Amino acid sequence: MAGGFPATARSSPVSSVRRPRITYITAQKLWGVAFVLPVLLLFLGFRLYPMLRAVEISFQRYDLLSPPRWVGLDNYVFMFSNERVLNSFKVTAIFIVGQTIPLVLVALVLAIVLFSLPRFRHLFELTFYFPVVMTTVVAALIWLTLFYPRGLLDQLVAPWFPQGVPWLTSPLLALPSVIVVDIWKSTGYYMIILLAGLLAIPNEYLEAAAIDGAGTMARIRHILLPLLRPQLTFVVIIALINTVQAFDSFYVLTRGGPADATRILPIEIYLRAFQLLEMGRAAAISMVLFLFLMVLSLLQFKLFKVEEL
Amino acid sequence: MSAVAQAGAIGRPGSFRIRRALGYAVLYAVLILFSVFMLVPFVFALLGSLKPEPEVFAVPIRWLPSEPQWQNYVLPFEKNVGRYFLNSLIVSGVQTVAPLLLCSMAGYSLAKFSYPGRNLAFIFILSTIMLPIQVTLVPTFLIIKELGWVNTYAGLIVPGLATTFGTFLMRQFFLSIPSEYIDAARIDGASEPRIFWTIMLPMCRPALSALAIFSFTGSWNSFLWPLVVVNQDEMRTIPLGIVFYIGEQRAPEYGQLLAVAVLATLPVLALFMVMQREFIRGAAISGLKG
Repeated sequence: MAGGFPATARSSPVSSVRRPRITYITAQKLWGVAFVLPVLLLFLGFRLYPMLRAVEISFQRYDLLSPPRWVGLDNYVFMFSNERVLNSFKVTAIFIVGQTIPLVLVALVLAIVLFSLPRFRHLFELTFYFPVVMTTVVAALIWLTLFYPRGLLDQLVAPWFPQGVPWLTSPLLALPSVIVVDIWKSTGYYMIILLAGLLAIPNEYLEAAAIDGAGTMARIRHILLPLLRPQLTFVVIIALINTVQAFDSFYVLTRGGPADATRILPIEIYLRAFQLLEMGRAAAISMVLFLFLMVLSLLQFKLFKVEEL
Repeated sequence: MSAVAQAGAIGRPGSFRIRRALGYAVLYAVLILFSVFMLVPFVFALLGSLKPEPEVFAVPIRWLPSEPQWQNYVLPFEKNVGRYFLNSLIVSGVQTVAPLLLCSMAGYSLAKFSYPGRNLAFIFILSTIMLPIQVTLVPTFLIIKELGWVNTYAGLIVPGLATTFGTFLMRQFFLSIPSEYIDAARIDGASEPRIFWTIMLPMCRPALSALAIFSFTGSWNSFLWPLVVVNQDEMRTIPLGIVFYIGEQRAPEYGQLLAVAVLATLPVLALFMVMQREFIRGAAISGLKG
């Protein structure tokens, strides 16, 4: 049924004399497939196939040296009983909450501030956005020099802490320190999204509210925030997705230390696989990461129709 | 601020104006405070890249170098840093150009053709955002190892030849182009590749430039995958090189490291300056439709 009728309707008299072996419509469909094929093959080979292999490996014991051995659910049992892995789950949970909330709040405040700015908005947009595009490793290196013992930050707080502060070397402070770096690096992105949402709000609403005597806070609370809800939801989901994948800044600043205080899941997976050579266990742990991302992505697809994304 | 300012400007001047001025003072205070937080690290790094080593962490703090050490920008190249830059350029070059072709072909197909399985293909491509390299790190490494691509450009480049975002972006853009262009060209007897290459692609310039900057910065900044697939010095990209000098050297020369960091930031900065609108609009659009 692939295409006799419209094809003959369109084809020239010449081709209706000599019937083509592949009809016009079929050829068109084949071209469609041909165009999508390279990306499809790449994704099948380097996304789906690795995922299937990850499932397989998660039931195996494999150290790269001796051949893989089936161990059933051992890796999963290990994952939920080993203190180090459990700690890594805990650190990840704390990190996700401790990063997402201040990140979104700061982005929101900045977006509202820039929104109500009469001039120079673009200049500030650029300033706050640039760290987003720069290399995370470079950003982390810069902050490494600021956190350095007796470095800029220590000298800033010297009046109160003459001995200096163990920014990256105390288990208590290390995670908050990395969070500061991540906020510095990524706030601009979320701010821009929220600002665009604010700028899309029709002026009339704010004018009407002002005429009715609504103060600044009332206007923010009752007009801007409710109308900004789609963007806020979007930003929270994206922030969660990005946060759970964080790796670079942690690798440069703390590499999971001190005393595993910053050993978030991606760091745990990397170190377990490529330092301890426990491929099976690392693969099992990455399943947790996958589940988390899957839930968030499905939520995103559900809340925001694909056509609108 | 158009909105609030105009709203406030309606009606009463006088005492209201003073309150507004006060409001602006708070506004600017927040802005300036945050700007300092955002800018000081840059300034400190830039100045640090010109300092002799003892001055980088001098007590009390030294903002300006006693004498600019331009050799901080030269000495790293006596090690392997030139090679790192070359590697980064090669990898990012290919990973910028390839998606322009591959993602737009796929996006074109998904937007403008109909064939069995098309929606399935689209859903599959879209769902690969659940499979970032953090999730498939171990098996992807094993596959690359089985292919014999460890420590090769192929290993660095091939897994990132196309992106989910890029394909999605191009599909959305093609959807906005009327199909009549294609129909007209078909009636004129143009072949499908020709329609794509000479008619559709040139109409995608805005989307293509957005795609190019996102691919380039993504590739230039990527760290985790190169970290796994490369362990030979001559295959390191810039981020790997920087981390190598921080971590593996006994006493890294921070002045020189910062100089390399500044150099590594220059391509992104230049691109950002030239294409700032695209960068900011790209980010804004991703949220607006939500």
